[in-house]
Amino acid sequence: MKFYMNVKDIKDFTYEKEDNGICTLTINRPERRNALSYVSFLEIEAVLADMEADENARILIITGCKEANAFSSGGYYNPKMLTSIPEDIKKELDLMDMVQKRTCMKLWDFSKPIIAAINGLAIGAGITMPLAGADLIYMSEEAWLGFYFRQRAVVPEFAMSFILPFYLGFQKTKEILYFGDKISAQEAEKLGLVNKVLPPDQVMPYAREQALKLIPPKGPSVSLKLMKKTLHSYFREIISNTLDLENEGYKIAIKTHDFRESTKSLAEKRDPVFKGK
Amino acid sequence: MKINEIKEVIYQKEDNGICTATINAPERKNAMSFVTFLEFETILEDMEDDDNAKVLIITGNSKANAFSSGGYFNLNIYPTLPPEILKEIDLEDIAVKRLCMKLWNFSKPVIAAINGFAVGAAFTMVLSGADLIYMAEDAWIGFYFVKRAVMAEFGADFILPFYLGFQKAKELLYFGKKITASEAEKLGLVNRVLPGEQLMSYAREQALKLIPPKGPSVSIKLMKKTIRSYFTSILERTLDLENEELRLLFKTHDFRAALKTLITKKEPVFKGK
Repeated sequence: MKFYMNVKDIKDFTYEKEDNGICTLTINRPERRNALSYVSFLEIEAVLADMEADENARILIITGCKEANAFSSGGYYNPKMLTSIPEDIKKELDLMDMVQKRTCMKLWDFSKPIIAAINGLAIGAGITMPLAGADLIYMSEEAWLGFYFRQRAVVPEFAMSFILPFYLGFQKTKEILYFGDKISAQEAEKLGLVNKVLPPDQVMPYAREQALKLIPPKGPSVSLKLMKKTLHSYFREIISNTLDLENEGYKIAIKTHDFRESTKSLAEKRDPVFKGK
Repeated sequence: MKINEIKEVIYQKEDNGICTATINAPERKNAMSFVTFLEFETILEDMEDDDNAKVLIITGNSKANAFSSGGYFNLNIYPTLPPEILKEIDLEDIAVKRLCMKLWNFSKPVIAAINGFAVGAAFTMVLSGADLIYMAEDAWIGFYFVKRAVMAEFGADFILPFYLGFQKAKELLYFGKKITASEAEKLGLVNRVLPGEQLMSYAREQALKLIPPKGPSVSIKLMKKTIRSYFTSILERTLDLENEELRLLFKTHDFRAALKTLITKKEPVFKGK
């Protein structure tokens, strides 16, 4: 399938490849706190395709630029921006795929290891994308997570509707999703959502140190690839089905009064008043 | 294989219904070969046929100072086996699917008493095969697959994410981590950790609660069957996939490099092929 986005054209990230095999993708949209648009997700897919085709690209680290003071504030959708996107890229976007199923499945099927270095706040897709897509998550002790779906009157995405109960059980998942409370790095670690919490300046060095253990000469990468493939295999269909269900839910949610109210209340910097329809 | 031919496991049956299988190869730290796995299958068959054999406790010969050091890769032992035993062994079943499914479908309760370190298959075998796992507080678990440039077997590629989520499972497997008994308990991988000298007596005390007169064994059998039933086909699929991948891995340069370092005791230098 021809891919219309070239890694040289990516704008929402900086993408660096090192001789040792480490590739780093840094979310670089500080003016919107590293929020990710449909185009951002397409750019991630371009990076994954580039790395699959390159034998020397052995492991991906995803992080956020310092200027944003965030890892990512989640999904970004501004209808105005659609007009400024080149036609050949717009063609590649599936605006009905609101939960980013395509990107999620590409991450799930990606053969090489991915480390998320959550260096700052991670809201919405900022945390759901690493949970579905990253093999390992290292987090700054000052960062926090916001599963802010209820505040936006929508539903979770990136297959969280399966992954969270799978990790935490239904009661803890519903506590988190129904109330949308902020989760500190320490809580995230206790819940088992992230592998390790570190002082902010140690997150990237640690991520890199761990990355080197997973690639030659320290890591047997064929073995690791096959581990990843086998670990993911049973769950692939479940993840795919969950994403379809989440897209269905999203389509309904965005037609509600409460969704419009939540968007308005964000702009007007006030608490939303929901009606339940 | 007949029950009186088993050598790598010591098998004891008591009048009260408790059977004990002690992995017995101290000269190789209780490492388990395909023969050991066949002997376990033989024990399970013997117990299914014997109404008076009611619960199995698996442990390791303490002379080894280990529960078991995992899979024994030396192929030289097989040509020396009697042909009728060699016939029963499937050298391509590296994920040990046959024993794993026999353990999975075994109707009676199985308790693992991890009395010393458990590396690789030593732990994954009881993770899928034992109903309950009790561990000595100074024992540890080594998820050392990556150090040998292989991968987990006994269905652990489904079970570990199922217990721990993907990130924590990959933490253990990708980095070949060693975890202490207390860490294992915190992760929920084992039921209880005890001082070494209390381990077997506790396992036996618990075993007695599961069999008559203290335990309603029909009820417990049906619980076991029902709990496992949804996962049987998942486990089989996982084992088939593990076998496919392990057969590929055994052909890699990195696997040979890792084997060599077992002897040279140097850090392996992997090439990624």
